[in-house]
Amino acid sequence: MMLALLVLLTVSVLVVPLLPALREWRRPSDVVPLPIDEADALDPPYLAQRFAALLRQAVQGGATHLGGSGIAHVALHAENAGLPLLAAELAAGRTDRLWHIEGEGDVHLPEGIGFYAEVSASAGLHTAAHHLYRAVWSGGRATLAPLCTVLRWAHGQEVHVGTGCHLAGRVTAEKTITVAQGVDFMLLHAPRIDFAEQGDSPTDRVPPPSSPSPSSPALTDLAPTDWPAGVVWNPQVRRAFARSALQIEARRAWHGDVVCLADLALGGHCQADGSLKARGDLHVGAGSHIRGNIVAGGSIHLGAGCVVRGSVLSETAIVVGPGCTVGAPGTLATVTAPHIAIAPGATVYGTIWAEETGQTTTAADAASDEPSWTDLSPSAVVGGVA
Amino acid sequence: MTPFSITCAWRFVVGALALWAVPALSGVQTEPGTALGYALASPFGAVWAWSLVGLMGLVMVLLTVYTLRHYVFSLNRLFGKQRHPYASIVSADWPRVTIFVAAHNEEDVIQDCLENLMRVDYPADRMVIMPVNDRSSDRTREIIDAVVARFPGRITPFHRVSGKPGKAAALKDATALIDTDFIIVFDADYMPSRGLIRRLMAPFFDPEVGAVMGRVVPHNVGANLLTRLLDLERSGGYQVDQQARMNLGLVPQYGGTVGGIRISALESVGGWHDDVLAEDTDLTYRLLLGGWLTVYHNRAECYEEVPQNWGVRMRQIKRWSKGHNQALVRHSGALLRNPALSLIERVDGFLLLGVYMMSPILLFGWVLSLLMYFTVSMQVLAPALLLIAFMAHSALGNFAAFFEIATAVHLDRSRQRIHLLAFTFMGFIVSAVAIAQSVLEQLLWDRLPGKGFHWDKTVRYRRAAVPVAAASTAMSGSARTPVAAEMHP
Repeated sequence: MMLALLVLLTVSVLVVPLLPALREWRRPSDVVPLPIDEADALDPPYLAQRFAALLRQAVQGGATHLGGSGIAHVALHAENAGLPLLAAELAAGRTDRLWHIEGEGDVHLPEGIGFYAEVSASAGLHTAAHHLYRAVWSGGRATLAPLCTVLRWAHGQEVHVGTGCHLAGRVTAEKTITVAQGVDFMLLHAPRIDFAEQGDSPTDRVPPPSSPSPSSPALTDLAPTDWPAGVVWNPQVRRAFARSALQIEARRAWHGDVVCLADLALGGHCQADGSLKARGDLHVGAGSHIRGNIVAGGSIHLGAGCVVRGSVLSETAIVVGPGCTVGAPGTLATVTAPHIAIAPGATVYGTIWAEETGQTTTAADAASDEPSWTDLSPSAVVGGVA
Repeated sequence: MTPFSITCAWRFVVGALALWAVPALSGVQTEPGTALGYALASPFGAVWAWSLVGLMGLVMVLLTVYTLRHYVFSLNRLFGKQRHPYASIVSADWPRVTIFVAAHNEEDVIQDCLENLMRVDYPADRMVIMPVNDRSSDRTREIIDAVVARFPGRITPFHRVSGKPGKAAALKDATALIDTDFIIVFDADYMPSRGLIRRLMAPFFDPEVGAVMGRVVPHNVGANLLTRLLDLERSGGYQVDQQARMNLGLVPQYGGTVGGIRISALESVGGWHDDVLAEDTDLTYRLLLGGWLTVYHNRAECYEEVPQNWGVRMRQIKRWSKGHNQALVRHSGALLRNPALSLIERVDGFLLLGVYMMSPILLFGWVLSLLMYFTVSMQVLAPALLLIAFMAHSALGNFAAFFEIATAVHLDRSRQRIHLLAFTFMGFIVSAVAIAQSVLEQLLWDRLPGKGFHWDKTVRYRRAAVPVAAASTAMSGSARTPVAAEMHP
């Protein structure tokens, strides 16, 4: 008897852990292929466009609710006509209804009311300052007044973001986005994104464009033999490869990529017909022109007036200086990093994606953040001056 | 290629090994006058006894190293900083790319792959799709040509009718025909998703990147128990193993499919080698030694078809094992000597290369344990301590790889499939046996005259979505003649 019990217990110890497996095998409950994200992450206006499609469908079908919110259909026939808000909404200072506003004139959302569901206007739309909006859709120009907050997304033909706005979600436009100073953002996407050139104070004035003066020295081409010892130039792939920190003097030009396994710094007004990569920090001197992409494991600092045709990508932070241009009309690019700071006067064609924090700075901030490119402790200097 | 299952397999085998070794270790026979407090006794003498102990110690050290590696990877994925540096590139001046679809007798699956590629969101004018029809003897050519006719100008087929067999040889010939700076390679049973090409191309904006690897996701999960186990294994291998190596700056592996290659990088390291069985592993290491980075992109996911019966699975893993071990012989010396790589890169690269050798080493360990059991008695510590050590090893070391699977399932938010984890032992034992067998073949059988390496194509289970007759009908139209590049090397 004892032996049988012992055997039973022993077998139980072995079998019990297998019971869930046997059950899942015989009666599958989790057997579908892992779902694959098809496009959302690669399509910044996805949320706005999906909302527009759902709303169109709901309106055509006469639905009264969408996504758990009641739909308030409004036809406004005059500019500045007020929204028919309920007394309870006015008293609470918030509306949880989804507003679908038809009309040809611009819509001005009222003061004192937060919109906790989407607001859709067929024409232009102006938010009120200091207020909170879940999402904003405009068939024309969307103007986000100063100090307002957008939680999920805002979309329009054009979008103007006022000073001090907090944009927790995506802001996308069919044509242009204009962003004032002091704005926190996450994702901006449009064929053209401009950062306001002037703030409210004299210290916010953008410095003049950093371009070579007629008397400044001409560019010097870097020949393959000009790279210092320790930098390997591979003519087959047109790539300079440096294992330690590297500085390139101002006003140098070269054709090819530069890959540096440490910090990389370019002096002012360099021209690179290729891409740059640094595993450490990467500093591009003011007025430089990079025809390729810029990638860094550390932070990237673009000096004032830099032009980058390709994308700019850092695993830590990017500081875009005043008057910089990334991408070109018709040639989109992405600026992405966990932390991004953009100075006034910059223009980006494409997407700016700050994974943690993005903000627009003042010109004064940008100037104070700019490190001296000679402070990066290189072990090799290209150009002959240490 | 996923060496992940192999590392899991030998871990399990070592557990059983320890079960045998512990009684030997705990057999107390105190011998007076021994050095360092250790007492050994054997009828074959002290040299014999110490040799066995030394070899067993080596096996155990290897086990510990690989176990630690798995734990580090799992913990990194759970709690460490995650690196997806190229995942946010959504707007760009996308470069031209050629997409190879490697096909050898793929009449059942090639159409789905090509049609999926027609639906991707990459700019059509910057994407050349080239099915590499490698000496197929079935209706692969007809089906490809029918798809070409339906999408005029979008697909440039390469019908290879002769030449050296093998995927690497076919890709080598196909690469000579293209004029783009990048290629992406798919196997014919893969079903690319809409955003996949852009995800795979994004890392190439980094001029240091020579190759990109995406994540492989089984599609026929529900076929049977084997496919469900392989689904778990793939999750662990990609979601944890590859991504952790990416996070830690180690050596992600280009896997031969769902991956991209920079042509200039490929050429700078000698192009395709058509005398290798695992062109992917071979290329990963040549790029690494040539100063190029291989990147793993966990969000570049693509469906594949996994084997549905054990025989096919064993043949597949034997082929991988032979190719991987071939790369081990070719590259380990250069890897370990390369001063340009960091120590951690060299060590991890070597461990990755050696992963398929662990099965035969463990079989050797089994033999050692038997010999120790019968011929050596020793006293190291009190038997109770040995028991504790064994328990700790079984509970922690043995299950390190399974911990990776559990981590992956958690990250994938799959709730119930983790229950099948207990069955994965079965699959890992099969893998261990298959690999050991392949190593023996490689060492003995394949060296015989006239043998050499044999490319064993993986069986497909999916049947063609459109009957071949329909494909033939489509070809009878006026647009039936595609611009086909034929090559007779």
